[in-house]
Amino acid sequence: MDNLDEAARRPMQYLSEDGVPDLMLGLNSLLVGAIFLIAFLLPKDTAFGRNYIFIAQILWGCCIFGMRWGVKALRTKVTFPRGGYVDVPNPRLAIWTLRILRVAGAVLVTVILSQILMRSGTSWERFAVPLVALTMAVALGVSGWRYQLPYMLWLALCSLALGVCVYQFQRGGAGICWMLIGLGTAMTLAGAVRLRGFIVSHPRLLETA
Amino acid sequence: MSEVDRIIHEPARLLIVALLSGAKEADFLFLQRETKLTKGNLSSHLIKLEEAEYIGIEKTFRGKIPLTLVRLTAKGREAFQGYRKTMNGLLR
Repeated sequence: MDNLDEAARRPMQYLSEDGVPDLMLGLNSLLVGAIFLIAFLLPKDTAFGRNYIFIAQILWGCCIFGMRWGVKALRTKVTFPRGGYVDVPNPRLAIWTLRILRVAGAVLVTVILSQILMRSGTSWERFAVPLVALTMAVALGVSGWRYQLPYMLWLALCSLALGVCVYQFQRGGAGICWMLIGLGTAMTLAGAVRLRGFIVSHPRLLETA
Repeated sequence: MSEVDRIIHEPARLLIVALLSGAKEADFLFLQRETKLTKGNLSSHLIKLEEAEYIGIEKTFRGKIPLTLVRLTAKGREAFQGYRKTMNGLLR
């Protein structure tokens, strides 16, 4: 019966083994980090510098749409002609609710931790980078352990190492942007390596039935 | 002792149905790669499952390339769940 469960889980696994989600999520994270870093670097005494944050938010929205389009386009051009097409059913309401509750729980823990640290007199700029690094490491580590994906455990370690490095030279919001750029680069590379592996192991067939 | 569904009981067809139970739809190429069956073999199993109304087959085109989409029907899903229950009962 375990094999049947494994076979039933296979379509979902197949959609993550091509590395496309990691590649696009990494690119998205890299771009978002760069877009908001510019907001910190621009001089605030110019009209453009003051209004750039609105442009950044529009660009952020474009990045999310771009990521969705990129996943679809890469799958249509690369994944499906090689390994076949599969579509998975939308998660049930109970699963969606559980996911939302998990995210809400993580946000609540982060807010409580921030409040405790701020009440003890620590400026938010001091703990922003370590907190983001830790949150990302936990999220990546749990996903890697749950779905048996060792590269995600490496990305979790990478997040911690990046947190330590970034903390040395940049703190606050700009530090978070550097974290997103660093982790986005690592995820993009991991996704590209996985995609290359998928292309090598799934040569394109000339015809389908 | 409950009767085992002979259509699903065959290992290749059981694998096809199990794969489709986790998908909204899948094409012939995906099923062929995952089951490692030959085209002819997979086709004959799909025909048997279609005759039993356990799956629905839609033949279409992606550009100029023929595309065969396969979906598990409600009857097929029910039969798969029933088969699992029966087998679990027998193994206990």
